[in-house]
Amino acid sequence: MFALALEAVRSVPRRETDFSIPSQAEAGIMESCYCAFETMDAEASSGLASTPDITMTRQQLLDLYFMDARAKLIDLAAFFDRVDRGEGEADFRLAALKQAISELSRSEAGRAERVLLSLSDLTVEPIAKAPGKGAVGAFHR
Amino acid sequence: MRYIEPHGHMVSRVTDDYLDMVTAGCQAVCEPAFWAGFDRSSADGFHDYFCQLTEHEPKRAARFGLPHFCWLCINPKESEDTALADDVIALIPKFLDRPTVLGIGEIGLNKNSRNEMKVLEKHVDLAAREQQLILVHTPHLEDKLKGTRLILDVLKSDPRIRPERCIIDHVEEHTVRSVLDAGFWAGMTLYPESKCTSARAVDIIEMYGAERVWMNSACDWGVSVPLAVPYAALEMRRRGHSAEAIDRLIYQNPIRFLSQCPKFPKTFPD
Repeated sequence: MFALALEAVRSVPRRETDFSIPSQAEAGIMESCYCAFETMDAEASSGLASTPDITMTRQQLLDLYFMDARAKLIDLAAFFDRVDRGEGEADFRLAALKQAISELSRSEAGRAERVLLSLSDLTVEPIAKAPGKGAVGAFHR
Repeated sequence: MRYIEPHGHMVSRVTDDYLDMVTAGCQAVCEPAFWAGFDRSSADGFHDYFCQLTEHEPKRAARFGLPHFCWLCINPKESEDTALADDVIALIPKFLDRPTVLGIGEIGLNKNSRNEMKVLEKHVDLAAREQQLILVHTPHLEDKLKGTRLILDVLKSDPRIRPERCIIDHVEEHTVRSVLDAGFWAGMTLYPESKCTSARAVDIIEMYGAERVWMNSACDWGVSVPLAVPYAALEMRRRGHSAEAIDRLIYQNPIRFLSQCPKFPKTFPD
């Protein structure tokens, strides 16, 4: 029942201009979903509600995360503009970030892992002495 | 909702945080020994810190009805001074019998230096000799991948170490696979900027499973969120995970790992 109710909530088309206020139809479905949440514990105790492999549709994921991703993308664009307006030379982090961003245009899965690898120290031997305590977010190759 | 906060530096937090955590359903909090944000000048400073972790902080948490446990070590950020580290490691055994001490942690590496490696190996040896659980800190940001590999090498090379009694904390997408494949537990730290966001933590659960994984806030004196674990639970719910799956990850899993130390309860009263 929970899965059906949640599916119903996710399947409701979102209005382009309103991402926060549920419509009357959405509110009704959400209410039934909440009722399902209440019965979920009973199902779970019998092992029926164990769902380790959740797979949402692409449409559902866009509904859930598009605005967040859009905001982060614009923030990133504004950051590059801000750095361009600044004076002086940029250090290695700017080039490292641009290199990491190139991973986003690849179509294979694993983008988050590849971005992290792109910014990582890939050497294998311990260093002679710690130069300090902090990390800066990108390895200076 | 009920959850365990398996990694919180509560000496850095205010009482309002305790109130919020208990209100959100926290059943117990575990505090690894940590860098204070400045270097302590002697082993005496660590003696006082270990007393704070084992005597004062449990009393402060108890005022809010929250059981408080801890882990002891010299944090890798202070491991470059091996003489100091030796003095601190020598202090630890007399604290291990205290009723709320769970093991040795958070040990590990910070900048992946040779001295940090030596101190890590001494901590691992102490844990093996005293049959203690191990909580490992992996380095930050660009140093994490290399540090995680070095740490795994140290742990795997000691035949006395059982992977199921070690948790490697602060994993991200580029380190989680190697930790789990080697049989260790993996901790995901939920930070607003570095480490994992809630959404990424749930991604990792969906990709790698939740069998030997916990989530923690690692709230400390820096930018961090004491309620990060219940917020991540909300993220799981938004993604359609069942209440049972959420409970298993944020409550049952920490208990399953931590109760390998007999001082940690297998259940908590509702």
